Amino acid sequence: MTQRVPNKMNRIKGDTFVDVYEIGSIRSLNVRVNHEDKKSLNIIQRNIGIKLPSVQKTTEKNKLTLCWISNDEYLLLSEKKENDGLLNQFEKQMNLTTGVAENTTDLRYWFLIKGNRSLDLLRKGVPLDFGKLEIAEKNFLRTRLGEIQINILIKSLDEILISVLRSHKDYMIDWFEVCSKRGTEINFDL
Amino acid sequence: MSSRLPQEGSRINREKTIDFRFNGKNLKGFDGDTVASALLANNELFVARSFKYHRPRGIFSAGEEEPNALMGIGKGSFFEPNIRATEIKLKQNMNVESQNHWPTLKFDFLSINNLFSRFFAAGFYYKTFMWPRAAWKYLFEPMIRRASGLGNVPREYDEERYEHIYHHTDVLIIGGGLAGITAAKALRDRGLSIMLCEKDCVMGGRYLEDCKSGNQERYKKLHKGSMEILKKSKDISVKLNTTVTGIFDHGFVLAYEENQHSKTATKKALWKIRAKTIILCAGAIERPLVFPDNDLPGIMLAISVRDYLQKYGVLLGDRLVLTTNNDYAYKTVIELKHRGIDIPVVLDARASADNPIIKEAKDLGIRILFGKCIGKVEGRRKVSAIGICSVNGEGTIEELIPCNAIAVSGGWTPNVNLWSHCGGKLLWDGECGFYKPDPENTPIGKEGETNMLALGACAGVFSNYDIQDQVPRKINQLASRLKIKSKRYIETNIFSKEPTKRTIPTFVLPHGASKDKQNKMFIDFQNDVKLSDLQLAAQEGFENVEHAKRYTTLGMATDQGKTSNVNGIYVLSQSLGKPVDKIGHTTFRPPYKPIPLGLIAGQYAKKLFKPVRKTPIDKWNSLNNAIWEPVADWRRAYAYPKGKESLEETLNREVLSVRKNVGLLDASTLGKILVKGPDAGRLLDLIYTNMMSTLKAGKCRYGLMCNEAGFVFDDGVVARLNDQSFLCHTTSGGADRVYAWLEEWLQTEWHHLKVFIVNLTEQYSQIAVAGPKARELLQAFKSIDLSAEKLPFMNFIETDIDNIWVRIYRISFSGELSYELAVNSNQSEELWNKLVKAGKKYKVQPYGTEALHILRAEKGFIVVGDETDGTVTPHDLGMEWIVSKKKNDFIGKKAFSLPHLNSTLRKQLVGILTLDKDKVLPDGCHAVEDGKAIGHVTSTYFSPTLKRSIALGLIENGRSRKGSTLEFQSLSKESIFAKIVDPNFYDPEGAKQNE
Repeated sequence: MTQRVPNKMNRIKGDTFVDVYEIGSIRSLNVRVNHEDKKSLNIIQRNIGIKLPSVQKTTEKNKLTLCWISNDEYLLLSEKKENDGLLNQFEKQMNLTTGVAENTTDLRYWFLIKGNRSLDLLRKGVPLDFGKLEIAEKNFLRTRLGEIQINILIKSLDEILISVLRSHKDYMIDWFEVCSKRGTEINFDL
Repeated sequence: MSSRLPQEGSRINREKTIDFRFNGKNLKGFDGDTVASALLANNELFVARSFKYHRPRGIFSAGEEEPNALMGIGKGSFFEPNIRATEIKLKQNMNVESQNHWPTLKFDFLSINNLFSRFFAAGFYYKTFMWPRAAWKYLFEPMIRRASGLGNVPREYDEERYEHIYHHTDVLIIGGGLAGITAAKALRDRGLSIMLCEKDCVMGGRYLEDCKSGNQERYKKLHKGSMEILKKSKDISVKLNTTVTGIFDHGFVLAYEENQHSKTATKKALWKIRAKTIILCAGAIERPLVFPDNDLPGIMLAISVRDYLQKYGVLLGDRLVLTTNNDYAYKTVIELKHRGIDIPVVLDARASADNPIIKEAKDLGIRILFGKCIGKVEGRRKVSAIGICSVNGEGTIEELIPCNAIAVSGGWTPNVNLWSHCGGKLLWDGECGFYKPDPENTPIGKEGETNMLALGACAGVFSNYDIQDQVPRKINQLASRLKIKSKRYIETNIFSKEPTKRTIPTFVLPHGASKDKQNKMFIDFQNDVKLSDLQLAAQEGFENVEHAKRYTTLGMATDQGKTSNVNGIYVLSQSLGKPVDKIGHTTFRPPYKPIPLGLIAGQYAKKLFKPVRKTPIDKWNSLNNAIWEPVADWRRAYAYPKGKESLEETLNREVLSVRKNVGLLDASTLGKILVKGPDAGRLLDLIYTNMMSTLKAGKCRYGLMCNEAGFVFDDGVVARLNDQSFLCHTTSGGADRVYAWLEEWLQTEWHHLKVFIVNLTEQYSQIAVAGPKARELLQAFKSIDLSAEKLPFMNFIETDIDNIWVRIYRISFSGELSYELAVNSNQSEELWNKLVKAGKKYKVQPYGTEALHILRAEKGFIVVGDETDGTVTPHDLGMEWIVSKKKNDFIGKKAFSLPHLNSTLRKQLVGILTLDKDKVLPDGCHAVEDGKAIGHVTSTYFSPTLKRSIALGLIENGRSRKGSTLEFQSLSKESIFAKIVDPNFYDPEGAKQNE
C-alpha cells in the first residue's frame, strides 16, 4: 500500500485571503469497531496506543491521529512514514477480529488551509456552526460543502485540513479558487 | 419641476460627480445618490410606464416599496432588469434604461391601452379573445405574450459575483432603527451572539432622519452613543446593506447583502442564517391615499419627499400640495416650508385635528383644509394642478390649485411580511387601519417555542417615546423567558411623550367618487389595479381575498403589494359590506423583496454548477481525445475518436479491437463495497437474490439485488476476499445508493449481524483488459500463470505488475477473454500507461462506454437502468437461475409469489433482429400489435461484430414469441419489422470468455 504525502505542497493559485495547499493523499485507515468488542478495542489501545476520541473530536499520539466519524467508525491518519510498519501490523491484527481496519489512503484527497480566515472561507459552503467548536480540542467534522461530502480536521483556527473524495479533487480546487478570491470575500469582521 | 438644492443631502458627496446615462441621455449625479435621486435631481419625473395601461409613471417612493421606477441597469453581461431605481446606488458610467414601452418612453405604442382602459377591466382576458377560435393561437396569444412581462431578459451570461454564506447566531435582529438598536443594546453582555441586519447603508432608520429635523441635539447624542456601544460590543455583529428576504422553519433566515459601496466589486451575498430567536424591527411603510389620477408623475409618498430632501438635497417640486389623513406627514411640509418651498395647501381628510405639529404648520403660514381631499389631478405626463373636493362628496371640484408636486400620506402599514412567512398570525387594528403581528400567535422554533418577537413600528408602535419605553421591557421579558443571563436593562427615555395620533382609516377619497373617477383611482400601481377592478371582483363573486387577488392581480407584482395590500383589502371590505378583519389578508411569501436569480445560485455557477467526479485516469482520457458521457455524477470516456474518424468508425474500431485483439477500459467508476465480519455471508444472502455465503475465498459470483417489491435494484460481481470479507461491486451510478441500502438494512432490520460495511469505491481504480490477446498482454509483464486452469473464469488473484499491487479478476462484461485489474487509485494511471505501452505489440486500443455497451448487448448482458426501469423482475429478464430457491429469505423473495409478478402478460427480455439488417431500431421505440403497444426497445445498436443491427427489448410474453415477427414504430410513425430471438447474439456457449 502506498503513502503519498508530497514533500512540497502545491499552493492553489489565485489572489486569496487564505493560503490553500494541495497535500494529496495521507496514509489513512478506516477503522470500524464495536464498543462491546474488547478484542478490537485492546488492539487499538495496545498497538497504536491511542484512545478513542469523543464525538467530533480527535485523539493524537506520535503523529497518528484518530478521528471520530460515528460511534463505530473512525479514521486513523498517519503523518509519519515511520508509522507504516505499525499500521500494517495493526491492519492485519484488526482484520482477525470482528472489527475493520481498511486502507483508505487513496480514497481521499487532502488540502491544507492556512490563515486566520480559514473558517470564514469554509462558511461559504459548510452549513455547520463553527462558533460551537471547542478549538482547544482538535475537531473532526464530516459534513457537506455545497453538494459534496467533506471531512474537516481543525488543527487550530488558522490551520485546517480538509479532505474530499479523490474524484472531487478538481471540483474542490475550483471551489477554492472561486471562493477564496480577495475582493469578493464578504466582510466577516461585521 | 424636480431639482437639487445647492446644499444639503446627508448621503451624497458633492465633490464627486458621477456621470450616467438614462435612456441614452447623459446625466450627472453625485457619489451616494441612488438612481432615483439622481433622476429627480435632473428633473426626470416621468421615468416609467405602467404594466397594463402603459400610463406615464414617476418615482413614487424612496425605498423597497417602489412600484413604478423599475429599470434595466447595466450593460451586456452585467445587465439586470427590474431593478428599483430607489434602491440602486449610482455608479460612474452606469447605463439606466426604463422598460415596458416601445419604441420610446415618451412615445409608447401600447399607451393606446390607456384609451381603452374601461374595456380592460379585471379579468377581461377571461371574457374576451373567444372568437374566432383560431385567432387565439395565431393572433391573441402571440400579441399578449409580446406585450406581457416586465423588463428584458439578459442575453449574456451573468458575470456578477454572488456568494452564499452560512451564519449561526443566538439572536437575529432585523432592522437597525430605534427599536432594533435599543434591542441590541438591551441584549448585549448576556452571553448571547447577536446579529443585526439593516437594509440601509447606515443605522438609525426613520428616527435618524427625524433627528435631523430641527435642533435635536439629544437625539444625535443618543444615536452616537448607541453606535459606540454597538461597535464596542463583542457580542453584536452588524450587517449593513443586508435585507432579510425570508424566514423559514426553525429560525432559518435568508438575508440578501448587496454591498454596493465596495471598492472592488459589488458584493452580493446570500446569508443563510440559523437564529434561535428573531427580533423583528422591520419598521413600517407609508401607505398612499386612493384618489382620482393618483398615479401621475410628480405624486410621491410624503415620507419619501422628505427622504429625498434630507438625504440627497432633492426637491420633488417647488410648489407642493400635501394630502393626508394623519399628523406625521406634516413633518414633510414643515421641512419644505423651512427651505422656502411653496406649500399652497394641505388637504387633511380628517374633520379636524389640533395637535402641536398642525399648529406648527399653521404658524409657518401653511393653509390647511380639513375634510378635503383631491378630486382630480391635472397634467398629462406630470402634475400641473389639483382640484379640491370634499371628502364626503362625489368629487365636485371646489377649487383648482396649480402645483407641480403632490405628497401623499394615508398612514403607515407595519412591515408584517417576515412575521407571516413562518406562520405568525396577524391582528387587524381597526382604529389605526392596519394589520399588526398577533403576539399570541407567533412563529415557532423547532421545540414549538415562540421564536420571534416584533418590536417598534412593525408591531404597530410608532412614537419614539413608546418604542424606547417598550423595547427594554420586552427584551427583559424575553431574557427571562429564555432563561438567559439576567441583567435587567434600563434606558432613560429621552423622547417626549407625544399626544396620541390616530390615523383615521380613510384611504379612498372622496368617499362618494363617481364611476368615472373610480376608473382612475389606482390601488396597485405596478399591476394597474384600480378601485373599480376590486369592486367588479366583489360584484362577480370573488369574495375571498385570495380569489380577488388572483382575479385582479392585486399585490402580485414584484413589489408584492407593499403599498397596495391594505388599501385593496379595505376596498374589498367596503364593496362586500364586511368588516376588514372578516375579509382577512393574502398570504405573504418569501422573498420579501425580489432577489437576483444569480443570488440563489451563489457561487455554484459555471465550473461549480455541478460537481463532476473524475476517475484517476481522467487526465489520460482527456489527453487522448476522449469524448465524455455523464454516468451519474461521473464523467466517463464515451469513445476515443482518432483523426477524422466519424463516431461510427470510432465505435466500430473500438469494438473490433476487443473482439480481435485487446482493449482497455477505464472501469474505475464501478462501486466497490467491502462487507466484513463473521456474518458478512448471511447479510449478503439476505441482500442478493442468489447465494453468496457459499462462495469460496478467491472466487467471484455475479449477483442481483432486488427491492422489497421484487424489482431489480442493482447488480454486480461479488468477490470473496477471505473468510470474513466480501467485496461487492455495484453499478457506477449505484454505489452510494447500494452502500446506503446496505447500511439501512443492517442498522434497522439486521442489527444483530456482526458486519461492517466500508465504501471503497475510490480506493481502487479498475481497468478492464478484454480481448483474445488479454492474457498475452498481462503475461508480458511477469511470468504469472493466468491460464484457464490457474485462473479460471470467475476467480481472482492478488499479485503485482511492475511493483504495482493488483487484484486481477477473471470476469467479463464483453463475452471475451477478459481480466479486470483493481489497483490502488494513486497508481492506476501509472499502471494504465504501462498497459498502453506494453499493449502496442498486441494492438491494444482504449475503448469507451459506448463500445462497452455494444459489446455487452452483443452478448445479451443487461444494464441496470437500460433493461430495467424499477418495474422489472429477474424473471422478466430471463434470469430465474439467479433467484435462489434454497434460501429462506432475501429482499424481494415474498414479492415473487405475487400473482401479478407471475403473469404471462409481463414484459420479458428478448433479442430483436430487424428484417432489414442495416436498419437500427430507435431507442425506446414501441412494439405494436393490433394497434396496441406491447413492449419497447431497451438497447439498440449496430453490431460491428455481427455486421447487422441488434436490439434488446421488453415484450409482453416475449419469450413465447421467439421466431415471430413484430412491428416496431418510431416516433415518426415509421414501421420497422423485426424478428424476436434469444438475447444472446454472440458466443452463446461462452467459449470465448471461458477460454
